[in-house]
Amino acid sequence: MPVITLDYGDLISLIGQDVPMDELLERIPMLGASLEGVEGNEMSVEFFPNRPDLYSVEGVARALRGFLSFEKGLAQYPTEDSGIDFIVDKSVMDVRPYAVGGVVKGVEMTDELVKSLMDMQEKLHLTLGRKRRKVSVGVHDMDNVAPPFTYMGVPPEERTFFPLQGTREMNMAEILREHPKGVDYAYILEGKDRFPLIVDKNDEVLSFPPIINGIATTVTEETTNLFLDVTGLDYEAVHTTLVIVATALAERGGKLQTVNLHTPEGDRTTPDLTPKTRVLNRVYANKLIGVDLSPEETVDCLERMRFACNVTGEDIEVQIPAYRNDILHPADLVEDVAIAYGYERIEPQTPRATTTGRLIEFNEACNSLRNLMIGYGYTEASTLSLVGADTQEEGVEYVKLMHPITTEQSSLRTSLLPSLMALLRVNRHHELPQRFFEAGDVVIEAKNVRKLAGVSIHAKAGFTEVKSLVQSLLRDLGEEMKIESRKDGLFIRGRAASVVKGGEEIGKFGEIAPDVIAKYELSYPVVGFELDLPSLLAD
Amino acid sequence: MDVDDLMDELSLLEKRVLLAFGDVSSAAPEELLKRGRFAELVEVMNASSWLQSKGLVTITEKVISYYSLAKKQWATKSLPERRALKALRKARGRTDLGTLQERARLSPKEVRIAIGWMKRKAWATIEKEDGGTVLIITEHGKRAVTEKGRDEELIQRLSEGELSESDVDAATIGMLLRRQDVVRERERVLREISLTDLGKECIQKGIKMGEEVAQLTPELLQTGKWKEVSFRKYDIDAFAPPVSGGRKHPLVEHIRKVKRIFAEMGFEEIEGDFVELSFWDFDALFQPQDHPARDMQDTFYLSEPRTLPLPPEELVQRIKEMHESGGDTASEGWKYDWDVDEARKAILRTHTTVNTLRYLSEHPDPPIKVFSVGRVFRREAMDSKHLPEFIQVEGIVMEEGANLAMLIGVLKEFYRKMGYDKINIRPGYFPYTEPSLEVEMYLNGEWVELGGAGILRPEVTRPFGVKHPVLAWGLGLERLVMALTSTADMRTIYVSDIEWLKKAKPIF
Repeated sequence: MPVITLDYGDLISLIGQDVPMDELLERIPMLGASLEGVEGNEMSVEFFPNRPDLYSVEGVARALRGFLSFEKGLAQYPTEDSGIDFIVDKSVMDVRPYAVGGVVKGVEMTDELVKSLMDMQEKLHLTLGRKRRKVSVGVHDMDNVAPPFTYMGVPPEERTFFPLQGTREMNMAEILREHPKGVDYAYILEGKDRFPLIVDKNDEVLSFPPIINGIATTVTEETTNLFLDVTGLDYEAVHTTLVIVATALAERGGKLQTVNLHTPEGDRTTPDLTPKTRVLNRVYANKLIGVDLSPEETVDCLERMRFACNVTGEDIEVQIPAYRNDILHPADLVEDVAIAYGYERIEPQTPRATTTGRLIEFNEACNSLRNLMIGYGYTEASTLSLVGADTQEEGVEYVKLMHPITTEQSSLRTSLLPSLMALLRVNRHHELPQRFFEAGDVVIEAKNVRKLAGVSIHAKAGFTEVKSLVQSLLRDLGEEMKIESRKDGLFIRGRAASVVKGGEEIGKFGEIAPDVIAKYELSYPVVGFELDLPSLLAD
Repeated sequence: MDVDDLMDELSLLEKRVLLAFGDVSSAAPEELLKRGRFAELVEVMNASSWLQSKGLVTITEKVISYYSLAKKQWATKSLPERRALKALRKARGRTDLGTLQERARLSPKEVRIAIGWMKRKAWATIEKEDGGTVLIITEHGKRAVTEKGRDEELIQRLSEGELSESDVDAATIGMLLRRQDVVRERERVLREISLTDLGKECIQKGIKMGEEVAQLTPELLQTGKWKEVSFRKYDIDAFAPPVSGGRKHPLVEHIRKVKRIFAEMGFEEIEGDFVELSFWDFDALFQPQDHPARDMQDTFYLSEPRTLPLPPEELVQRIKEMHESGGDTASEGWKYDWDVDEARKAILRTHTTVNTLRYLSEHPDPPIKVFSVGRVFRREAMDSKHLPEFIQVEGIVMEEGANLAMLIGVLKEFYRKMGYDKINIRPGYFPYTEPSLEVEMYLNGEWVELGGAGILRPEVTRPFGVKHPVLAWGLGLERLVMALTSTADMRTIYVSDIEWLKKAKPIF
């Protein structure tokens, strides 16, 4: 989840009220965030993926003004028509079908704004943008280009332009091969026969979304008027992103202007800041939170979360700012009421229904086996279920990972013994004897199966020791041990046995074969056993 | 230390020495050796010196001279002057000095000794006569012929054995010592062991004898001999090696504790498999198919098996509608084309919430309180703070009127029963709950995030026909175990050093 760095001074000036840093550090997490750290005036805060509007200091300031009761209801962003036409050509529909634009005028490119804008773009690309695949943002100095702007699909080698951070004019295929951003994001355009491009009236390239801008619209300290383009695969996501960036710039004093969007599906005006409306039933909210808020209190909570409200009886018509894309259901508004009310103020309650607690009997039986093993002097292990495919017994089917991180963790174990052998290896420099057991799940045919296994390592470890142990275990469970000789590469030939119950094999034990011992870098004899617990414990 | 303690600490040998004194208050070690029937003198001496260090006896030492004949001949052979006296008597009391040697059969050296001692003992006088020298017997000499001198008597006694200085007359032995080769003198150290008042007090109190043993043996017990023996006292501060038997794993024990607590709180345990359908792990939880958590980077997808059979078509359809348009709820849904093939994919479960979802789908009616504790998998490289698999404690409450306050109540009660009061609840986010919260615990001076909880979104519960709010949580355990066992590296829990396992305190 994205971590936003907030400069205390910058945040305070955007809030417009003096709030001590300690209070901010205490209140920000209660708005819905995790405080990651504080260094001097810099607060690192992780915001949640449902609130991309908080991925900038401007957005956080807007939310805090409400949360801290300095300013309530919808944030107002007056907009004018820029008169600029932004045309989405049908040639781009198969490539990256959606684009929206907006204009912000009179922006002062301070260090704070530049930093915030870059951070915000990066976070939005990563989260809402799904690493630019779903959404990407371009910010342009619009004074060097002339509208109308056209978004279109172009064959990869047809056009050349000088990309930002580039060294020469290149065509788009070259950019994907050679430009650092091209290399990073080439996968998004893989297999496309046209690439997206935004050009101005004179064919000057503004952007090659979602890869890189052209050099013509480079934003500098002198820039005052910005054109924003947002392109992607999902119109809502694309438009919300534009609103988030545009309103953040407006928080810095920029004047918003709309763009006339012409698409094959029809015309629109963007950014469209019209709030969505949803009805929240107050009783539902109170019931779901477990509080008894009056209509006024509920409205106050919603307004502090920057919603506007109209109350009709128990129903509250809530106006949702366009930068909030996380309100899918009234339940989402309930959470905002709860946050504004304060989680810390909610009085804990107890479930009212009477139910009977119950543990799974089989697990309790397994626990008794653990106690027996402890009694036999074995120390309990809890090893990882992920194991290397090389530890799997030959001929056994096992669950394989598609993209393992390491070869040592590329499959799910089908036996506990290799895990215990690996544990002996970890402990090979410690005093002997060592005796470990584990009662844990292995996975056979995609189903969990509980096993009990144990190993014993010391100079005199031998067949009799492990036979005694298994025999005692079975005796303590009221079972008589029946065994058959076993051929198994894990054990020394002639020193291995299968445990049999009702004609079914339910386990095995023996002296571990020297080549196996050597493979685990051990130099003392090892004996081991493994039992299938569902079969063993079955009546 | 009082007398009784002192007596308790006496070794068998010490006791025997004390008893050997009998009615005397001091004795030589040799005497004690005999009286106490010790095997060797060294036993007496060792025990005496221990007793001395405890203040029960004192050991004093004296140097004593012992005398014996220098040559055996003196047992049978008379002194030269005696032989000369006999010869003089034979010569009727007068003889020329020159003939004495021959008459008395003395060697020339003996003649000088004989004449010297006869004069000294006043047995004879020497006179000059006609230019010669004659020896004349005195009256005393005449009497001496039949009477032995004291020195001769002493020689006789010495011929029978060594005598100590206390057995002999100092003057007489002095005489003999002045002579050459008659008596030999030897010095010996003589020890004397004397009871102190404390020693006497101990004896008076009565010393209990009996064999002292170190080990209580089956034989002692079976023969009843244990009644007669006393047990050597041990130094209880002496080193004893640590015992290490089997130990339970702290994580497994914590799991046990968690299960017990939920059962006490009226929850029923459920469980499921590691291998799950994307459908249950994600889709049924209203996680959009392009959600980052579903990414190959974060979730372990399987190549074997690659897919698993989906639940009945009707349910799949309801989930599809929920994603696309919010189904029959007030939700907008995610507004995208839901792909059934994505839902078929087999994965390693990323949360145990799948267990409860499956349960809910089969038990849509209230009240429900179930929990599960099990391993979940996330595609993370192992390091000191991350593991690709870890434990999740998951549970739900579903009843009429279930609410956020109840969820907070259940979580606080659970942690209170675990032994933690300092719990912080703050807003959180999970794609499938709304409202959502995060739980933090104050542990070892810092707030530790333990997990998340919330009320399952209507988009999640509606397809199963659930009509009431479902409170759900998923909590971690490893960080708690790390804090409690002062473990800095999370890997230690699953790749355990045996010393770490042995050190772990029991959990209850």
